[in-house]
Amino acid sequence: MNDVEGNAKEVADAELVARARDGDTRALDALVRRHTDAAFRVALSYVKEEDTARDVVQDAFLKAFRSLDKFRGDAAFKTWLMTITANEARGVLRKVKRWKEQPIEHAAPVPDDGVDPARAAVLADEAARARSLLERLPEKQRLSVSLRVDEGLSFREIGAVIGSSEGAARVNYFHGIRRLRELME
Amino acid sequence: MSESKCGEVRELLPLYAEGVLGDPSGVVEHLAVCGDCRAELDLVRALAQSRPLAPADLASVVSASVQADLADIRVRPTTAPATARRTVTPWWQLTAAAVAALALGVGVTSNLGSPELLPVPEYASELEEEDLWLSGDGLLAGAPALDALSDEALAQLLDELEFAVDGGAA
Repeated sequence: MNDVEGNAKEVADAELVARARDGDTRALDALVRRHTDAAFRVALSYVKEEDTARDVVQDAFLKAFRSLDKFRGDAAFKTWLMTITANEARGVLRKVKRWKEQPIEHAAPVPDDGVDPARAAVLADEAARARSLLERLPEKQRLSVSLRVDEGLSFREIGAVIGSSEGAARVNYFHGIRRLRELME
Repeated sequence: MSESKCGEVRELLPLYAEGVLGDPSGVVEHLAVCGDCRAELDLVRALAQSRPLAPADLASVVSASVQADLADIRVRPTTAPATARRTVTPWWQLTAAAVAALALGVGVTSNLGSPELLPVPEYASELEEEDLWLSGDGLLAGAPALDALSDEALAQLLDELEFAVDGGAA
């Protein structure tokens, strides 16, 4: 079995990037599948519309792979891709010059094992409400919270994606979380 | 409860909620005695549970699109037969050809009064143009040397190459 197909989860991004650079389409495919959800979340956080977010993700991946030779590995591939995605999304917003508040389709929350159905329903409602309220936060706070909670990025990486310093990313995260807690009460 | 301890723990809550903290014991101990941080953990977990996912078909669509795009870049412009375009050219041939191409440019520069072309090595003539400049393998032969030139110098080099080709044809 091909090791890219058979052990895609175990193969590090850096290894997949090296193979994709050499024209290995399976490595390219593995990178796309691994990071599409994250890129989509970043795009959606900016543009709010699923169809537009799809376009942003597609364009971001195209740009990333076209310029793969310029990727030196100083940052994680995921952070690099998120930065390109954020830039693409901001570019779309600048062009379209619109900002619609629209309901977003969320993944169905997965209740923890051992939680009774009634409690699970309450948790699911709270989860959907938290996500909905997240969309009300200012852009950098929203992105900082999402990139930290959804993607597990460091504050340095978040700063690179949203175009601010590490310290500003940390402040935006804590302000965002605090505001979200106030909105949830 | 000290605020600094709360700050340290809260920074780690997203990683703790995902179960990816190397040593969660400090966070666990703090959460046992700090209701405010437990409340924040609930919020982080709520957000993580409602994490949006990309549409199911998006990865396949993007992957196919990227592969088609890269294949298109590798074969553009398509004047050579398909079989020739698929030929993988060794890096040293690309580099040698690039050196030859630059030498041609330098030769033309020093022979503006006489549009004669310098002899081109056989290995250079075996290469397709798109293989040299649009190769997808990242070598981009000759590019580092060209990068050092200013826009004006590049434009002049192109003009000189065109002049040499025209002169040679005439």
